[in-house]
Amino acid sequence: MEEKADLYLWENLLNGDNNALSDIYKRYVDDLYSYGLKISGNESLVKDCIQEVFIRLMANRKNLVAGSNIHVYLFKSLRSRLLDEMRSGNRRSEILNTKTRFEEEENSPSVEAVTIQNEEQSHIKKKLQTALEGLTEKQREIIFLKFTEGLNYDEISTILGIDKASARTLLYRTLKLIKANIKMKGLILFLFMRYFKK
Amino acid sequence: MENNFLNSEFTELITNDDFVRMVKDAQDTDKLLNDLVMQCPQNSNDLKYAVEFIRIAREDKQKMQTADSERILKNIQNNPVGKDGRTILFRRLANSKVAAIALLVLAIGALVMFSKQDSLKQFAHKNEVSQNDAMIVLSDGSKHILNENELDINYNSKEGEVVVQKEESVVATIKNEPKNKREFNEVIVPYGQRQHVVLNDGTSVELNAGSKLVFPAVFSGNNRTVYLIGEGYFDVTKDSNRPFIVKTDFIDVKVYGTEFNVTAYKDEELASAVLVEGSVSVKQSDKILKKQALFIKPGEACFYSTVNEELEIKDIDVDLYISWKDGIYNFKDVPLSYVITRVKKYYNVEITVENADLLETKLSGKLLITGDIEEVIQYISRAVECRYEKPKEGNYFLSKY
Repeated sequence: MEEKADLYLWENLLNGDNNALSDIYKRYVDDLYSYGLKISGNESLVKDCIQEVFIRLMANRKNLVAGSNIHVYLFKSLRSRLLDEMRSGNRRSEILNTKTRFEEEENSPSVEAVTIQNEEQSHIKKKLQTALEGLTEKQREIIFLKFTEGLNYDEISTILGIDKASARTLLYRTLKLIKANIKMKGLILFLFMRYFKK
Repeated sequence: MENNFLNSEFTELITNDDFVRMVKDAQDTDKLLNDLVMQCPQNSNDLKYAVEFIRIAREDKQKMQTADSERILKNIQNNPVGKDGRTILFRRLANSKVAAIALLVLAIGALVMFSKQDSLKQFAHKNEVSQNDAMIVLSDGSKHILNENELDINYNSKEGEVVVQKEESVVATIKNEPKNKREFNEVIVPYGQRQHVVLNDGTSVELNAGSKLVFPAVFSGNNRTVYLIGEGYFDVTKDSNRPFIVKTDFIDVKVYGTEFNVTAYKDEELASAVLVEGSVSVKQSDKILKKQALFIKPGEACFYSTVNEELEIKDIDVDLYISWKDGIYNFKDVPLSYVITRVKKYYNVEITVENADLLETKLSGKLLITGDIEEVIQYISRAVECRYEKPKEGNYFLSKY
Protein backbone atom coordinates (compact mmCIF):
# COMPACT_ATOMS: atom_id res chain seq x y z
CA MET A 1 0.00 0.00 0.00
CA GLU A 2 2.53 2.51 1.22
CA GLU A 3 4.99 1.63 -1.47
CA LYS A 4 2.42 2.03 -4.20
CA ALA A 5 1.53 5.50 -2.97
CA ASP A 6 5.22 6.34 -2.87
CA LEU A 7 5.80 5.15 -6.42
CA TYR A 8 2.85 7.17 -7.61
CA LEU A 9 4.11 10.31 -5.85
CA TRP A 10 7.57 9.78 -7.25
CA GLU A 11 6.18 9.44 -10.74
CA ASN A 12 4.27 12.70 -10.35
CA LEU A 13 7.32 14.47 -9.00
CA LEU A 14 9.42 13.40 -11.96
CA ASN A 15 6.69 14.70 -14.24
CA GLY A 16 7.05 18.10 -12.64
CA ASP A 17 3.98 18.06 -10.39
CA ASN A 18 4.60 20.49 -7.55
CA ASN A 19 1.84 19.05 -5.38
CA ALA A 20 3.78 15.82 -5.37
CA LEU A 21 6.66 17.65 -3.75
CA SER A 22 4.55 18.91 -0.89
CA ASP A 23 2.88 15.51 -0.50
CA ILE A 24 6.23 13.78 -0.30
CA TYR A 25 7.47 16.43 2.09
CA LYS A 26 4.51 16.10 4.44
CA ARG A 27 4.69 12.34 4.33
CA TYR A 28 8.33 12.18 5.31
CA VAL A 29 9.22 15.35 7.18
CA ASP A 30 8.72 13.91 10.68
CA ASP A 31 10.49 10.67 9.82
CA LEU A 32 13.41 12.61 8.41
CA TYR A 33 13.44 14.85 11.44
CA SER A 34 13.47 11.88 13.82
CA TYR A 35 16.19 10.19 11.82
CA GLY A 36 18.28 13.34 11.61
CA LEU A 37 18.12 13.77 15.36
CA LYS A 38 19.46 10.26 15.78
CA ILE A 39 22.52 11.25 13.79
CA SER A 40 23.27 14.70 15.13
CA GLY A 41 20.86 15.68 17.90
CA ASN A 42 21.16 19.29 16.75
CA GLU A 43 17.66 20.40 15.83
CA SER A 44 18.46 23.42 13.70
CA LEU A 45 21.16 21.64 11.77
CA VAL A 46 18.73 18.82 11.05
CA LYS A 47 16.08 21.27 9.84
CA ASP A 48 18.56 23.05 7.58
CA CYS A 49 19.68 19.77 6.10
CA ILE A 50 16.12 18.58 5.47
CA GLN A 51 15.48 21.79 3.55
CA GLU A 52 18.66 21.26 1.58
CA VAL A 53 17.74 17.66 0.76
CA PHE A 54 14.43 18.71 -0.77
CA ILE A 55 15.93 21.65 -2.66
CA ARG A 56 18.48 19.29 -4.18
CA LEU A 57 15.78 16.75 -4.90
CA MET A 58 13.91 19.38 -6.91
CA ALA A 59 17.05 20.56 -8.66
CA ASN A 60 18.09 17.06 -9.66
CA ARG A 61 14.76 15.57 -10.40
CA LYS A 62 15.40 15.35 -14.12
CA ASN A 63 18.25 12.97 -13.44
CA LEU A 64 16.28 10.72 -11.13
CA VAL A 65 15.08 7.30 -12.06
CA ALA A 66 11.45 6.33 -11.98
CA GLY A 67 10.62 3.62 -9.48
CA SER A 68 13.25 4.59 -6.92
CA ASN A 69 12.43 4.14 -3.28
CA ILE A 70 11.69 7.64 -1.94
CA HIS A 71 12.06 6.64 1.67
CA VAL A 72 15.55 5.31 1.05
CA TYR A 73 16.52 8.16 -1.26
CA LEU A 74 15.52 10.83 1.25
CA PHE A 75 17.10 9.09 4.22
CA LYS A 76 20.32 8.50 2.38
CA SER A 77 20.52 12.10 1.19
CA LEU A 78 19.80 13.48 4.65
CA ARG A 79 22.39 11.23 6.20
CA SER A 80 25.20 12.18 3.87
CA ARG A 81 24.32 15.88 4.11
CA LEU A 82 24.32 15.77 7.90
CA LEU A 83 27.60 13.91 8.07
CA ASP A 84 29.17 16.40 5.64
CA GLU A 85 28.02 19.34 7.73
CA MET A 86 29.17 17.73 10.95
CA ARG A 87 32.53 16.90 9.45
CA SER A 88 33.02 20.45 8.22
CA GLY A 89 33.05 21.35 11.88
CA ASN A 90 31.03 24.54 11.73
CA ARG A 91 28.45 23.14 14.01
CA ARG A 92 30.59 21.06 16.23
CA SER A 93 30.22 23.27 19.26
CA GLU A 94 26.46 23.03 18.99
CA ILE A 95 26.44 19.32 18.58
CA LEU A 96 28.12 18.86 21.90
CA ASN A 97 25.41 20.41 23.98
CA THR A 98 22.41 18.70 22.54
CA LYS A 99 20.53 15.82 24.05
CA THR A 100 19.17 12.64 22.61
CA ARG A 101 15.61 11.65 22.96
CA PHE A 102 16.19 8.82 25.36
CA GLU A 103 17.75 11.18 27.86
CA GLU A 104 14.84 13.55 27.69
CA GLU A 105 12.24 10.95 28.27
CA GLU A 106 12.64 10.32 31.97
CA ASN A 107 9.87 8.17 33.37
CA SER A 108 7.43 10.13 35.42
CA PRO A 109 7.39 8.99 39.05
CA SER A 110 4.86 6.23 39.45
CA VAL A 111 1.67 6.87 41.33
CA GLU A 112 1.07 5.31 44.75
CA ALA A 113 -1.37 2.62 43.65
CA VAL A 114 0.44 0.81 40.91
CA THR A 115 -0.49 -2.75 40.14
CA ILE A 116 2.27 -5.28 40.02
CA GLN A 117 1.88 -5.56 36.30
CA ASN A 118 2.30 -1.84 35.74
CA GLU A 119 5.28 -1.76 37.97
CA GLU A 120 6.80 -4.62 36.09
CA GLN A 121 6.01 -2.98 32.79
CA SER A 122 7.59 0.32 33.73
CA HIS A 123 10.57 -1.54 35.06
CA ILE A 124 10.97 -3.32 31.74
CA LYS A 125 10.60 -0.05 29.90
CA LYS A 126 13.22 1.60 32.02
CA LYS A 127 15.65 -1.27 31.54
CA LEU A 128 15.20 -1.21 27.79
CA GLN A 129 15.65 2.53 27.67
CA THR A 130 18.81 2.35 29.72
CA ALA A 131 20.10 -0.36 27.42
CA LEU A 132 19.30 1.80 24.37
CA GLU A 133 21.00 4.81 25.91
CA GLY A 134 24.14 2.77 26.31
CA LEU A 135 24.40 2.18 22.58
CA THR A 136 26.70 4.06 20.23
CA GLU A 137 25.22 6.48 17.70
CA LYS A 138 25.68 3.96 14.93
CA GLN A 139 23.90 1.25 16.88
CA ARG A 140 21.01 3.54 17.73
CA GLU A 141 20.79 4.49 14.09
CA ILE A 142 20.31 0.94 12.91
CA ILE A 143 17.77 0.25 15.66
CA PHE A 144 15.85 3.30 14.47
CA LEU A 145 15.94 2.27 10.82
CA LYS A 146 14.96 -1.31 11.50
CA PHE A 147 12.39 -0.96 14.25
CA THR A 148 11.09 2.59 14.22
CA GLU A 149 11.01 2.93 10.45
CA GLY A 150 10.48 -0.77 9.72
CA LEU A 151 12.95 -0.86 6.82
CA ASN A 152 14.40 -4.10 5.49
CA TYR A 153 18.07 -5.04 5.16
CA ASP A 154 18.24 -4.01 1.51
CA GLU A 155 16.98 -0.56 2.33
CA ILE A 156 19.09 -0.18 5.45
CA SER A 157 22.29 -1.22 3.72
CA THR A 158 21.66 1.29 0.90
CA ILE A 159 21.08 4.11 3.38
CA LEU A 160 24.13 3.31 5.46
CA GLY A 161 26.27 2.64 2.41
CA ILE A 162 27.37 -0.79 3.59
CA ASP A 163 26.62 -4.26 2.21
CA LYS A 164 23.72 -6.34 3.37
CA ALA A 165 25.81 -8.77 5.37
CA SER A 166 27.44 -5.95 7.32
CA ALA A 167 24.03 -4.43 8.07
CA ARG A 168 22.87 -7.78 9.39
CA THR A 169 25.96 -8.19 11.54
CA LEU A 170 25.66 -4.68 12.91
CA LEU A 171 22.05 -5.24 13.89
CA TYR A 172 22.71 -8.68 15.31
CA ARG A 173 25.55 -7.40 17.50
CA THR A 174 23.47 -4.46 18.64
CA LEU A 175 20.59 -6.68 19.68
CA LYS A 176 22.93 -9.01 21.50
CA LEU A 177 24.33 -6.07 23.38
CA ILE A 178 20.86 -4.87 24.32
CA LYS A 179 20.00 -8.32 25.55
CA ALA A 180 23.15 -8.49 27.63
CA ASN A 181 22.45 -5.08 29.09
CA ILE A 182 18.91 -5.78 30.18
CA LYS A 183 19.81 -8.99 32.03
CA MET A 184 16.25 -10.27 32.11
CA LYS A 185 16.88 -12.90 34.75
CA GLY A 186 17.34 -10.37 37.53
CA LEU A 187 13.85 -9.04 37.09
CA ILE A 188 11.86 -11.28 39.39
CA LEU A 189 14.22 -10.95 42.30
CA PHE A 190 14.24 -7.20 41.87
CA LEU A 191 10.47 -7.01 41.97
CA PHE A 192 10.29 -9.03 45.13
CA MET A 193 12.81 -6.85 46.86
CA ARG A 194 10.90 -3.74 45.99
CA TYR A 195 7.73 -5.36 47.19
CA PHE A 196 9.06 -6.17 50.60
CA LYS A 197 10.55 -2.76 51.08
CA LYS A 198 7.13 -1.13 50.93
CA MET B 1 -3.78 -18.87 15.80
CA GLU B 2 -0.57 -20.60 14.93
CA ASN B 3 2.24 -18.77 16.59
CA ASN B 4 5.03 -21.26 16.87
CA PHE B 5 7.59 -18.50 17.19
CA LEU B 6 6.23 -17.51 20.59
CA ASN B 7 8.76 -19.69 22.34
CA SER B 8 11.67 -17.83 20.77
CA GLU B 9 14.01 -15.72 22.84
CA PHE B 10 14.03 -11.90 22.84
CA THR B 11 16.28 -11.15 19.84
CA GLU B 12 14.56 -13.74 17.69
CA LEU B 13 11.16 -12.40 18.60
CA ILE B 14 11.92 -8.82 17.67
CA THR B 15 13.52 -9.81 14.38
CA ASN B 16 10.58 -12.01 13.47
CA ASP B 17 8.46 -10.11 10.94
CA ASP B 18 5.25 -11.88 11.97
CA PHE B 19 5.76 -10.99 15.60
CA VAL B 20 6.59 -7.35 14.79
CA ARG B 21 3.54 -7.05 12.54
CA MET B 22 1.36 -8.53 15.24
CA VAL B 23 2.48 -5.94 17.80
CA LYS B 24 2.28 -3.18 15.25
CA ASP B 25 -1.27 -4.04 14.20
CA ALA B 26 -2.60 -4.65 17.71
CA GLN B 27 -5.15 -2.12 18.89
CA ASP B 28 -4.29 -2.78 22.52
CA THR B 29 -0.77 -4.03 23.06
CA ASP B 30 -1.39 -4.71 26.76
CA LYS B 31 -4.16 -7.08 25.86
CA LEU B 32 -2.06 -8.70 23.17
CA LEU B 33 0.74 -9.24 25.63
CA ASN B 34 -1.66 -10.86 28.12
CA ASP B 35 -2.92 -13.22 25.43
CA LEU B 36 0.59 -14.15 24.36
CA VAL B 37 1.67 -14.84 27.94
CA MET B 38 -1.41 -17.04 28.42
CA GLN B 39 -0.51 -19.00 25.30
CA CYS B 40 3.10 -19.35 26.21
CA PRO B 41 3.61 -18.73 29.96
CA GLN B 42 7.05 -20.35 30.07
CA ASN B 43 8.39 -17.59 27.81
CA SER B 44 6.63 -14.67 29.46
CA ASN B 45 9.78 -12.74 30.26
CA ASP B 46 11.10 -12.59 26.73
CA LEU B 47 7.64 -11.83 25.38
CA LYS B 48 7.22 -8.90 27.72
CA TYR B 49 10.59 -7.43 26.79
CA ALA B 50 10.00 -7.98 23.12
CA VAL B 51 6.58 -6.31 23.08
CA GLU B 52 7.88 -3.39 25.12
CA PHE B 53 10.89 -3.03 22.82
CA ILE B 54 8.72 -2.81 19.72
CA ARG B 55 6.48 -0.34 21.50
CA ILE B 56 9.39 1.93 22.50
CA ALA B 57 10.88 1.80 19.03
CA ARG B 58 7.62 2.68 17.33
CA GLU B 59 7.05 5.63 19.62
CA ASP B 60 10.56 6.92 19.09
CA LYS B 61 9.52 9.53 16.56
CA GLN B 62 9.87 13.26 16.86
CA LYS B 63 7.34 15.58 15.36
CA MET B 64 8.70 18.78 13.92
CA GLN B 65 6.81 21.86 15.07
CA THR B 66 4.17 22.78 12.51
CA ALA B 67 5.46 26.32 12.08
CA ASP B 68 8.97 25.08 11.31
CA SER B 69 7.73 22.39 9.02
CA GLU B 70 5.60 24.86 7.06
CA ARG B 71 8.39 27.41 6.84
CA ILE B 72 10.76 24.83 5.39
CA LEU B 73 8.19 23.65 2.85
CA LYS B 74 7.70 27.24 1.74
CA ASN B 75 11.43 27.74 1.39
CA ILE B 76 11.67 24.63 -0.72
CA GLN B 77 8.83 25.67 -2.98
CA ASN B 78 10.16 29.19 -3.37
CA ASN B 79 13.68 28.15 -4.13
CA PRO B 80 14.51 29.31 -7.64
CA VAL B 81 17.07 26.56 -8.05
CA GLY B 82 14.21 24.12 -7.97
CA LYS B 83 12.85 25.47 -11.18
CA ASP B 84 16.04 24.92 -13.10
CA GLY B 85 18.17 22.02 -12.14
CA ARG B 86 21.18 23.31 -14.02
CA THR B 87 22.09 26.21 -11.78
CA ILE B 88 23.79 24.16 -9.12
CA LEU B 89 25.87 22.02 -11.43
CA PHE B 90 27.07 24.97 -13.43
CA ARG B 91 28.22 26.93 -10.41
CA ARG B 92 29.93 24.04 -8.79
CA LEU B 93 32.03 23.52 -11.87
CA ALA B 94 33.00 27.18 -11.98
CA ASN B 95 34.04 27.12 -8.35
CA SER B 96 36.25 24.12 -8.25
CA LYS B 97 37.67 23.34 -11.64
CA VAL B 98 38.12 26.50 -13.62
CA ALA B 99 39.93 28.62 -11.10
CA ALA B 100 41.24 31.22 -13.54
CA ILE B 101 37.85 31.98 -14.95
CA ALA B 102 36.40 32.08 -11.49
CA LEU B 103 38.98 34.64 -10.43
CA LEU B 104 38.25 36.79 -13.43
CA VAL B 105 34.55 36.64 -12.78
CA LEU B 106 35.23 37.55 -9.21
CA ALA B 107 37.24 40.61 -10.17
CA ILE B 108 34.57 41.85 -12.52
CA GLY B 109 32.00 40.95 -9.94
CA ALA B 110 33.77 43.14 -7.43
CA LEU B 111 33.60 46.12 -9.75
CA VAL B 112 29.94 45.63 -10.38
CA MET B 113 29.44 45.24 -6.66
CA PHE B 114 31.24 48.50 -6.01
CA SER B 115 28.92 50.48 -8.17
CA LYS B 116 25.86 48.65 -6.97
CA GLN B 117 26.88 49.00 -3.37
CA ASP B 118 27.38 52.73 -3.77
CA SER B 119 23.89 53.14 -5.08
CA LEU B 120 22.59 51.02 -2.22
CA LYS B 121 24.48 53.08 0.31
CA GLN B 122 23.35 56.35 -1.20
CA PHE B 123 19.82 55.11 -1.18
CA ALA B 124 20.11 54.01 2.44
CA HIS B 125 21.14 57.48 3.52
CA LYS B 126 18.55 59.34 1.49
CA ASN B 127 15.72 59.05 3.97
CA GLU B 128 17.07 59.41 7.49
CA VAL B 129 15.51 57.42 10.30
CA SER B 130 12.51 59.43 11.34
CA GLN B 131 11.89 60.35 14.93
CA ASN B 132 8.20 59.64 14.79
CA ASP B 133 6.71 57.15 12.41
CA ALA B 134 7.58 53.70 11.28
CA MET B 135 7.16 53.43 7.53
CA ILE B 136 7.62 51.34 4.43
CA VAL B 137 9.04 53.13 1.41
CA LEU B 138 8.30 51.28 -1.82
CA SER B 139 10.49 51.29 -4.91
CA ASP B 140 8.35 53.99 -6.55
CA GLY B 141 9.13 56.25 -3.59
CA SER B 142 5.66 56.14 -2.06
CA LYS B 143 5.63 56.10 1.74
CA HIS B 144 3.30 54.02 3.87
CA ILE B 145 3.13 55.02 7.51
CA LEU B 146 2.76 52.18 9.99
CA ASN B 147 0.59 53.20 12.89
CA GLU B 148 1.44 50.35 15.20
CA ASN B 149 4.49 48.93 16.91
CA GLU B 150 5.67 45.32 16.51
CA LEU B 151 4.08 44.54 13.17
CA ASP B 152 5.01 41.77 10.74
CA ILE B 153 5.81 43.14 7.30
CA ASN B 154 5.76 40.32 4.80
CA TYR B 155 7.30 40.48 1.30
CA ASN B 156 7.09 36.75 0.92
CA SER B 157 3.37 35.95 0.95
CA LYS B 158 2.43 37.02 -2.57
CA GLU B 159 4.38 38.55 -5.39
CA GLY B 160 3.59 42.19 -6.04
CA GLU B 161 2.14 42.64 -2.58
CA VAL B 162 3.35 43.61 0.85
CA VAL B 163 1.19 42.23 3.62
CA VAL B 164 1.28 43.92 7.03
CA GLN B 165 0.08 41.88 9.95
CA LYS B 166 -0.42 42.36 13.67
CA GLU B 167 -0.43 39.06 15.53
CA GLU B 168 -1.64 37.00 12.57
CA SER B 169 -4.44 39.34 11.46
CA VAL B 170 -3.91 41.41 8.33
CA VAL B 171 -3.72 45.17 8.95
CA ALA B 172 -2.92 46.28 5.41
CA THR B 173 -2.13 44.93 1.97
CA ILE B 174 0.00 47.23 -0.15
CA LYS B 175 0.38 46.82 -3.90
CA ASN B 176 4.03 46.76 -4.86
CA GLU B 177 4.58 46.14 -8.54
CA PRO B 178 7.65 48.07 -9.58
CA LYS B 179 8.68 48.15 -13.23
CA ASN B 180 12.12 47.14 -12.17
CA LYS B 181 12.11 44.50 -9.48
CA ARG B 182 15.65 45.30 -8.48
CA GLU B 183 14.74 48.70 -7.16
CA PHE B 184 14.99 49.18 -3.45
CA ASN B 185 12.37 49.18 -0.77
CA GLU B 186 12.99 50.23 2.78
CA VAL B 187 11.52 49.78 6.22
CA ILE B 188 12.23 52.54 8.71
CA VAL B 189 11.81 51.94 12.43
CA PRO B 190 11.90 55.06 14.62
CA TYR B 191 13.20 55.24 18.14
CA GLY B 192 10.78 53.64 20.56
CA GLN B 193 9.63 50.88 18.18
CA ARG B 194 10.49 47.46 16.84
CA GLN B 195 9.31 45.92 13.59
CA HIS B 196 9.64 42.54 11.94
CA VAL B 197 10.22 42.09 8.20
CA VAL B 198 10.05 38.92 6.14
CA LEU B 199 11.97 39.38 2.91
CA ASN B 200 11.06 37.88 -0.42
CA ASP B 201 13.34 34.85 0.10
CA GLY B 202 11.75 34.06 3.46
CA THR B 203 14.57 35.56 5.51
CA SER B 204 13.26 37.05 8.74
CA VAL B 205 14.66 40.29 10.13
CA GLU B 206 13.76 41.69 13.53
CA LEU B 207 14.59 45.42 13.44
CA ASN B 208 15.41 47.19 16.68
CA ALA B 209 14.56 50.79 17.54
CA GLY B 210 16.12 53.50 15.40
CA SER B 211 16.93 51.21 12.49
CA LYS B 212 16.48 51.04 8.79
CA LEU B 213 16.67 48.19 6.32
CA VAL B 214 17.03 48.65 2.56
CA PHE B 215 16.37 45.71 0.26
CA PRO B 216 14.96 44.81 -3.16
CA ALA B 217 11.31 43.72 -3.25
CA VAL B 218 12.49 40.60 -5.04
CA PHE B 219 16.02 39.26 -4.83
CA SER B 220 17.49 38.62 -8.23
CA GLY B 221 20.95 37.81 -9.49
CA ASN B 222 23.40 35.68 -7.60
CA ASN B 223 23.39 37.27 -4.20
CA ARG B 224 20.95 38.74 -1.73
CA THR B 225 22.19 42.09 -0.53
CA VAL B 226 20.54 44.35 2.02
CA TYR B 227 21.70 47.51 3.76
CA LEU B 228 21.25 48.01 7.49
CA ILE B 229 21.51 51.08 9.67
CA GLY B 230 20.94 50.36 13.35
CA GLU B 231 20.36 46.86 14.67
CA GLY B 232 18.77 43.75 13.24
CA TYR B 233 18.46 40.08 14.12
CA PHE B 234 18.60 37.98 10.97
CA ASP B 235 17.35 34.45 10.44
CA VAL B 236 18.49 33.84 6.88
CA THR B 237 16.83 31.30 4.62
CA LYS B 238 19.45 28.88 3.49
CA ASP B 239 20.47 29.10 -0.14
CA SER B 240 23.95 27.81 -0.83
CA ASN B 241 23.99 29.41 -4.27
CA ARG B 242 23.06 32.93 -3.25
CA PRO B 243 24.91 34.33 -0.26
CA PHE B 244 23.07 36.81 1.91
CA ILE B 245 25.02 40.01 2.50
CA VAL B 246 24.25 42.60 5.13
CA LYS B 247 26.04 45.83 4.35
CA THR B 248 26.36 48.60 6.88
CA ASP B 249 28.29 51.84 7.17
CA PHE B 250 31.10 50.00 8.90
CA ILE B 251 31.07 46.29 8.25
CA ASP B 252 29.73 43.84 5.68
CA VAL B 253 28.46 40.48 6.85
CA LYS B 254 28.18 37.60 4.39
CA VAL B 255 26.31 34.39 5.09
CA TYR B 256 24.63 31.45 3.44
CA GLY B 257 21.89 30.56 5.87
CA THR B 258 22.13 31.17 9.54
CA GLU B 259 21.03 33.24 12.53
CA PHE B 260 22.94 36.28 13.61
CA ASN B 261 22.69 39.78 15.00
CA VAL B 262 24.18 42.89 13.40
CA THR B 263 24.58 46.21 15.20
CA ALA B 264 25.71 49.33 13.35
CA TYR B 265 24.29 52.44 14.99
CA LYS B 266 25.87 55.65 13.79
CA ASP B 267 26.08 57.07 17.30
CA GLU B 268 27.73 54.06 18.91
CA GLU B 269 31.43 53.33 18.99
CA LEU B 270 31.22 49.65 18.23
CA ALA B 271 29.53 47.89 15.34
CA SER B 272 29.14 44.17 15.80
CA ALA B 273 28.08 40.91 14.17
CA VAL B 274 27.12 38.17 16.62
CA LEU B 275 26.64 34.66 15.34
CA VAL B 276 23.97 32.40 16.79
CA GLU B 277 24.38 29.50 14.39
CA GLY B 278 25.94 28.68 11.05
CA SER B 279 28.97 30.52 9.73
CA VAL B 280 29.43 34.08 8.56
CA SER B 281 32.26 36.23 7.32
CA VAL B 282 32.74 39.88 8.21
CA LYS B 283 34.81 42.56 6.56
CA GLN B 284 35.07 46.31 6.70
CA SER B 285 32.81 48.14 4.32
CA ASP B 286 34.37 49.80 1.29
CA LYS B 287 37.61 47.93 1.75
CA ILE B 288 36.97 44.94 -0.41
CA LEU B 289 40.38 44.85 -2.00
CA LYS B 290 42.43 45.86 1.00
CA LYS B 291 41.33 43.72 3.88
CA GLN B 292 40.58 40.08 4.19
CA ALA B 293 37.26 38.89 5.52
CA LEU B 294 37.24 37.32 8.98
CA PHE B 295 35.16 34.25 9.70
CA ILE B 296 33.26 33.90 12.93
CA LYS B 297 31.89 30.81 14.57
CA PRO B 298 28.79 30.39 16.72
CA GLY B 299 29.36 31.95 20.11
CA GLU B 300 31.77 34.49 18.68
CA ALA B 301 31.27 38.10 17.75
CA CYS B 302 33.14 40.36 15.42
CA PHE B 303 33.46 43.92 16.69
CA TYR B 304 34.39 46.89 14.61
CA SER B 305 35.55 49.95 16.47
CA THR B 306 34.68 53.14 14.67
CA VAL B 307 37.43 54.87 16.66
CA ASN B 308 40.47 52.83 15.62
CA GLU B 309 38.83 51.23 12.56
CA GLU B 310 39.82 47.69 13.41
CA LEU B 311 37.99 44.39 13.32
CA GLU B 312 38.32 42.06 16.27
CA ILE B 313 36.87 38.62 17.03
CA LYS B 314 35.93 37.72 20.59
CA ASP B 315 34.19 34.88 22.41
CA ILE B 316 31.00 36.27 23.85
CA ASP B 317 27.83 35.29 25.61
CA VAL B 318 25.46 35.35 22.63
CA ASP B 319 22.42 35.92 24.78
CA LEU B 320 23.69 39.33 25.86
CA TYR B 321 23.51 40.51 22.28
CA ILE B 322 20.31 38.97 21.03
CA SER B 323 17.93 39.01 23.97
CA TRP B 324 16.51 42.36 22.84
CA LYS B 325 14.42 40.54 20.29
CA ASP B 326 12.59 38.86 23.14
CA GLY B 327 12.03 42.13 24.96
CA ILE B 328 14.96 41.93 27.35
CA TYR B 329 18.15 43.92 27.39
CA ASN B 330 20.83 41.82 28.93
CA PHE B 331 23.82 43.76 30.20
CA LYS B 332 27.03 42.48 31.66
CA ASP B 333 29.52 44.82 33.24
CA VAL B 334 28.71 47.80 31.07
CA PRO B 335 28.78 51.46 32.12
CA LEU B 336 25.55 53.30 32.82
CA SER B 337 26.28 55.50 29.79
CA TYR B 338 25.85 52.49 27.48
CA VAL B 339 22.65 51.37 29.18
CA ILE B 340 21.29 54.86 28.75
CA THR B 341 22.07 55.11 25.01
CA ARG B 342 20.19 51.85 24.56
CA VAL B 343 17.19 52.82 26.66
CA LYS B 344 16.98 56.23 24.99
CA LYS B 345 16.73 54.61 21.60
CA TYR B 346 14.37 51.98 22.67
CA TYR B 347 11.87 54.28 24.36
CA ASN B 348 12.61 57.38 22.35
CA VAL B 349 13.16 59.52 25.45
CA GLU B 350 15.77 62.00 26.60
CA ILE B 351 17.82 60.98 29.65
CA THR B 352 20.32 63.34 31.19
CA VAL B 353 22.78 62.40 33.91
CA GLU B 354 24.16 65.11 36.16
CA ASN B 355 27.31 63.47 37.47
CA ALA B 356 30.00 62.18 35.16
CA ASP B 357 31.17 59.51 37.60
CA LEU B 358 27.64 58.15 37.74
CA LEU B 359 27.89 57.47 34.02
CA GLU B 360 30.87 55.23 34.66
CA THR B 361 29.01 53.02 37.15
CA LYS B 362 29.17 49.44 35.89
CA LEU B 363 25.91 47.51 35.59
CA SER B 364 25.02 43.88 35.05
CA GLY B 365 21.65 42.24 34.73
CA LYS B 366 18.48 42.01 32.74
CA LEU B 367 16.30 44.93 31.90
CA LEU B 368 12.75 44.11 30.87
CA ILE B 369 11.93 46.45 28.02
CA THR B 370 8.41 45.37 27.33
CA GLY B 371 7.02 47.57 30.11
CA ASP B 372 6.69 51.22 30.85
CA ILE B 373 9.66 53.62 30.58
CA GLU B 374 8.91 54.88 34.10
CA GLU B 375 9.55 51.38 35.49
CA VAL B 376 12.79 51.11 33.57
CA ILE B 377 14.06 54.43 34.90
CA GLN B 378 13.08 53.42 38.43
CA TYR B 379 14.89 50.16 38.03
CA ILE B 380 18.04 51.83 36.76
CA SER B 381 18.08 54.49 39.46
CA ARG B 382 17.67 51.85 42.12
CA ALA B 383 20.53 49.86 40.62
CA VAL B 384 22.98 52.76 40.51
CA GLU B 385 21.58 54.31 43.69
CA CYS B 386 20.59 57.68 42.39
CA ARG B 387 17.38 59.66 42.19
CA TYR B 388 15.47 60.70 39.13
CA GLU B 389 13.20 63.53 38.16
CA LYS B 390 10.93 64.02 35.24
CA PRO B 391 11.04 67.71 34.34
CA LYS B 392 8.65 67.06 31.46
CA GLU B 393 7.11 64.21 29.49
CA GLY B 394 9.79 62.11 27.77
CA ASN B 395 12.59 63.80 29.71
CA TYR B 396 14.42 62.22 32.62
CA PHE B 397 17.12 63.62 34.82
CA LEU B 398 19.31 61.38 36.98
CA SER B 399 21.44 62.73 39.82
CA LYS B 400 23.27 61.52 42.90
CA TYR B 401 21.60 61.51 46.30
